[in-house]
Amino acid sequence: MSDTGTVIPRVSFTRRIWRAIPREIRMPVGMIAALIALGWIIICIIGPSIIPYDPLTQDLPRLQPPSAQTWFGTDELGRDLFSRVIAGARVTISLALLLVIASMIIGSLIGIIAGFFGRWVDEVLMRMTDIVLAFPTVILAMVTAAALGASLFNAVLAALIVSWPPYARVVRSMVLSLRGADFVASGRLLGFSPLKSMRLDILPNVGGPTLVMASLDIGNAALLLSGLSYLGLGAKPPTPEWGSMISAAVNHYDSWWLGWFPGLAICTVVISFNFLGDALRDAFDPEEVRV
Amino acid sequence: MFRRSLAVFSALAVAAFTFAGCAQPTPEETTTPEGPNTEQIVIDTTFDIATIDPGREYEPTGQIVVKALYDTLLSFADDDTTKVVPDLAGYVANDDLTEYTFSLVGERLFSDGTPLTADDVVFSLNRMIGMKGNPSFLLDGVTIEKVDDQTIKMTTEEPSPALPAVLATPSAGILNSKVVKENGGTTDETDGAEKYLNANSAGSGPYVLESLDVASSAVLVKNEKYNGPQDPTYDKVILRNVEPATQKMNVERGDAQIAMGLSGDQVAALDKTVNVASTPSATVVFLFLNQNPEINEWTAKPECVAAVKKALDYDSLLELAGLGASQATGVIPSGFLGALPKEEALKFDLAAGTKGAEDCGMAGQTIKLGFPNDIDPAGTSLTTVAQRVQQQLATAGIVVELAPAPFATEIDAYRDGKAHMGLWYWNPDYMDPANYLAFGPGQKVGLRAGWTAEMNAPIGEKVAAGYTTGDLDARKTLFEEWGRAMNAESPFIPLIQPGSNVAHQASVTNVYYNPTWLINVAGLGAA
Repeated sequence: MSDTGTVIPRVSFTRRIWRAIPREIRMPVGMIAALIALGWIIICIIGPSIIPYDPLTQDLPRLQPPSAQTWFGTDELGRDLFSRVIAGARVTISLALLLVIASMIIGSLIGIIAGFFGRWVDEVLMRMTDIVLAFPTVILAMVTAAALGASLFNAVLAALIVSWPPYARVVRSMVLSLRGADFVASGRLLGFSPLKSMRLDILPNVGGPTLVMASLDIGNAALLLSGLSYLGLGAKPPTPEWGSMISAAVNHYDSWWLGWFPGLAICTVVISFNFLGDALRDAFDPEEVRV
Repeated sequence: MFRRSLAVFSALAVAAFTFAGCAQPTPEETTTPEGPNTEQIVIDTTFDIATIDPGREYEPTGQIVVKALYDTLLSFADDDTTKVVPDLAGYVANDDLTEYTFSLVGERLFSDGTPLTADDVVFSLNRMIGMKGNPSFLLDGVTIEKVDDQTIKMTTEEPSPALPAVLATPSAGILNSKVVKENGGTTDETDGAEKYLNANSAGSGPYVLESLDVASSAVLVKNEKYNGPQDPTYDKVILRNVEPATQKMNVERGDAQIAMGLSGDQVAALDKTVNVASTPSATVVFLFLNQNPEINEWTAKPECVAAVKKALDYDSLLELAGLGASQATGVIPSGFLGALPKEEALKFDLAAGTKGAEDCGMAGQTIKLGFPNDIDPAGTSLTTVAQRVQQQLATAGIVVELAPAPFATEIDAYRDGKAHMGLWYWNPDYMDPANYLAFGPGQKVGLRAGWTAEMNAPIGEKVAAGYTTGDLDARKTLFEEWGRAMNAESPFIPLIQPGSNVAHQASVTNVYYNPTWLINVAGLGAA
């Protein structure tokens, strides 16, 4: 997280991705991960139109094992589990994306300001970051969510509070080394205002690594959000949310399918997005570039 | 080549070990079965033991242990909790139910051979009151005096119809006062005997304590000096703290003879070789609508309460509670004096419910339903029940928004009467219907639903009468009338009485669930 060595020379970010994709996507693991992640995102978008049953209607026999009619079986209230798992993708993945984007924006903003202005601004912002980092992530998120009351929005808010500091830290360290770079200095000499300098010289150079970091974080965000729901601090019933589905399954461990399928969904989302993030990071690491 | 043969060799070795493991004889197979095995019995349960000092103990698992180690003045026969029977003593009460006189029956002996006298009774009960432990409130306002060596008199300022039932609670167990005093026992908060009593027993019960680890196990052995009415079968009783998933496997395999922590759905999935003693528990899961118009305009209307009572499909809710559960016929569960018969339970009538909701203006309104989401009273998940309630009321046009919170948070809203609609449960403190008068208007639980005394004076009068009647038949009639009035007019909607399921091997007989002490280990038989 604190490796400041990954500062990238001034090359357009989109161009770097373009150059990186063909080589890395050929890697089988990255490829499969990307496909699975893409699959989940597609399910997330078209999910509601492909599910066979209403995920909220309790009109099937309860606790039925997987069969031809109900592919993943039915839950403790007689709802179709397949429909709920698919519907749950929209809840979990979209919120995870929202969380990651929000924490990336907030964290980067704080990091850029701290790194660019330095001195007391840096001190104040970084001590704030330290305070949040000093708490165990999940515990702090739990306390916040419990204090705000159980709801998905509050869970995202609670998760946001604990997930911006790493971005602030990394971005600040990159800005620190960029600040003294020749092209930034020449920009300032040309009369760029601090805002213009940050926008034109700094942001494009920290954008790439930050996005890679964010892509690595999507899986963790999904895990944190479903963890909060598992503990009853996130999604409110009857929302089809993977974490709360697993929590309900704890009382019915003889019906293995109740926990197995939502668990599998969380597992594939977390692993595929993390692998995808890893593949992207490799692609962006200059030392890893193979000839 | 060498590498390959090494791999083959290790694979073979692993396989060999696995087979050896399978072939190893289990302890059950090495003992030759000769008649019923009465040497020992293993009971798996999930522990909540904090202490086994009777005067301080008030947890379900603790009650099992304390019941086996200590005798009480009065008791219940097997699973009949509607009537107290004499154990150490018989009693007579005055007409006002303010004065009870107990006479010890025969000469009972403590496990060290000393006879049990009135002094021990007075010391033990005064200690329970004076230490201000968890069960102390049960004997609030009771004065205990010794009349002679065989007679004890208890007086209360208020009439106390529930005193006999309270004295049948294991917490009111009688200790050997000499031994307890020698080990730091007093009758006030300076008492220091708890540590001793957690490692040794000092009672007259059918068993004595061999060892206790509050986190894992309790081992009891027969009390050789026991001269009471019970005839314990097993020489040794081992209680183990085991996760429900493992409990199920253990009782199916025969590693344990009894499993006590299985939910209704788990019991339904048990091996057919395992027997199940299934009875309704004393827990009642209920719904309430807040009567305070400042909290919610709609739930406060009696017509809306009546509509909700009709709109709920009680049978469909019952299916969620699994084996042994029944519809709660009133706030007083079956097993108590004055519980209503099945026919008088609330009935589902969707058409009337829908019409009622529309007429009272509740249809289309969004009502918040608060409930604890981390508690499963008697194995019934409130989160599951709440979702079904939500769907049923939606059918009748009432929109329910679920507002769950962890127990520790939600309990405040409930106790302060802030919840619009609530889904909660009640476990009795003692086995007397007077316990349930708390649901009356202006009473403890009634106020949680914003139901003040002025709102329903007739039920209020019945509540007052409930505290002063001693005659069993009169009490039965009175509590039934009270229950009918509550079903008709109260903001409480009794839903489910979850089942209590004790899974046991066929070799164990006489398995009875009793809400007070769960299971009486001295009463278990062998076949």
